[in-house]
Amino acid sequence: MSVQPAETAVVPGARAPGTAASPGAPHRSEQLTVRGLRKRYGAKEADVLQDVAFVLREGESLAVIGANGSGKSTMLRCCLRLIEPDTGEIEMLGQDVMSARERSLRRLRAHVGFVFQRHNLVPRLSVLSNVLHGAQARAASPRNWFQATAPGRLRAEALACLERVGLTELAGRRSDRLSGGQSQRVAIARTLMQRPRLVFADEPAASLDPTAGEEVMELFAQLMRDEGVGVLFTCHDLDHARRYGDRVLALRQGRVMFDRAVGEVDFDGLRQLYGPVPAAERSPREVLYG
Amino acid sequence: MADPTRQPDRRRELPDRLPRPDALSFTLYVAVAAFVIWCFQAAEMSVSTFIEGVPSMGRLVSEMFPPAFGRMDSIGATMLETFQMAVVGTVLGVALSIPFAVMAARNQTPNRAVYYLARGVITFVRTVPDLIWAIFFVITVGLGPFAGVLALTVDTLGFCARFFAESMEEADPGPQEALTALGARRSGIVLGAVLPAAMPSMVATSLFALEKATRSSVVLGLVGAGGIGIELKAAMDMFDYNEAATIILSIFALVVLVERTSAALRARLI
Repeated sequence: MSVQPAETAVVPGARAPGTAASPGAPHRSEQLTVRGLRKRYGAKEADVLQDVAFVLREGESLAVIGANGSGKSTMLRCCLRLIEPDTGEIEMLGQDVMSARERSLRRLRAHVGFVFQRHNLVPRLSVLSNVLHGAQARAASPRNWFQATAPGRLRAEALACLERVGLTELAGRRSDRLSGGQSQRVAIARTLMQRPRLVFADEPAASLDPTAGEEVMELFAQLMRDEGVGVLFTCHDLDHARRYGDRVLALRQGRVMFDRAVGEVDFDGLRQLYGPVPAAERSPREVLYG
Repeated sequence: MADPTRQPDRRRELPDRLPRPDALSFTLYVAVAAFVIWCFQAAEMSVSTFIEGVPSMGRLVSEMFPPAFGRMDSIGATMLETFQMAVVGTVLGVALSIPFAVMAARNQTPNRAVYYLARGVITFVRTVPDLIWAIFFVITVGLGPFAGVLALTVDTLGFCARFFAESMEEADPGPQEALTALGARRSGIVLGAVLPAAMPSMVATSLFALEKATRSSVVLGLVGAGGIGIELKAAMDMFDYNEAATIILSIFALVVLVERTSAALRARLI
């Protein structure tokens, strides 16, 4: 199956992005609804995101695939306004993200875990302090954020989060002395400490060897099973998208190419998604200057 | 028949060792050289006067030896006071530098007005020499080590806040983005991600500040702001060069000790 534009790729019975559930489908509330999302970094640059629309329901896993530069990471960051989108509507956990002021945006972010490709742990702090940082939004006093000063209740909770990712024995180690796989598991423990209702993961296995990558993806699957949280993750590994996604959203040049159930995706036909952009799809500027 | 081992002389084909300056660059070089010569003239540099002064120098140095160690207990106590002033001034200056650095770091400041205000204050306190600050504080709080501590605090603030701000600007943005994403407040991001990342550089800067404060605290006494400087001035004024030599050797020992310890600590901590 070849990749088709979003409007023609919606299969019979499947929902168009941003629409309500079809009759007969199990009712799950929408945790994240995005419509008309657009982002451009500079006035002379091309759009990084163009009219992106999708829905993530409670307990659902949405795999976002696409070539480098297709806008996957920008899309994730725009949803939390870590990068300010130009236009669009984003409703997350029942709140309008675009109109949220700083304080309510912080409160909203507190419910959303974000796992980064490069882990983004604080290098000189211990593993336990990094996990404790996950509680920053709900435990406002600075003494709660560090291993040396946090109360026993929070340290026990952080240790329990580390136990879930199998790293209790490394609680006291400096985080810059961990392997890539261990660092990513600590980042997941930090996310667990947030008690998230929704998790974003930006290529969480990309910088890891296949075994460590597999372990990390398995942790996400377990998180979904145990907590029922929605997971939105980007990846290059189509096998991960197939095995860990309920739905697949394909991006090409900032546009949604398709958004469909994982069983309806022809993964063998996805090569076009990663191939060169045909001239017909490129702007005159791109055709002229590459 | 030509010698086959002999290479043709290709020196003419070699590129210039240095690029030839264009007319504007050449004019600028000449102007800079003329300016430096003019400065030498204004400084009344004179080789003959220097040569004439060599015997006086020799006489002064010979009068300093042997150093007089008779008042070593008093000199030792004043040296300790000098170092204590340096430590307190550095600690207070470093503590004050942190909030100023946060306000003066482009990526941490709450807004541009605060940024420019903090940068302005730091630039001002840095450009005024420590001796001028000492005179200011002697007039305002009176003679003694307290005035010296205040002068050293302000001087350390000007030195450290600028470097702290720069190390905060260079801190890896990744952990900061992670804390922003999980709903942390600005203070949480600074305490949780920015300060730990900037810490090695800040520790190194603070140790340099301690070295600088130790050297400064020696001369602050010349204007009555406590420390060994006043003892040195009294010894020189009373032509007691043997005791002056003892004081100078003590200063040398203290500064070297602080510098060596600070270098060892920096190597261990970073």
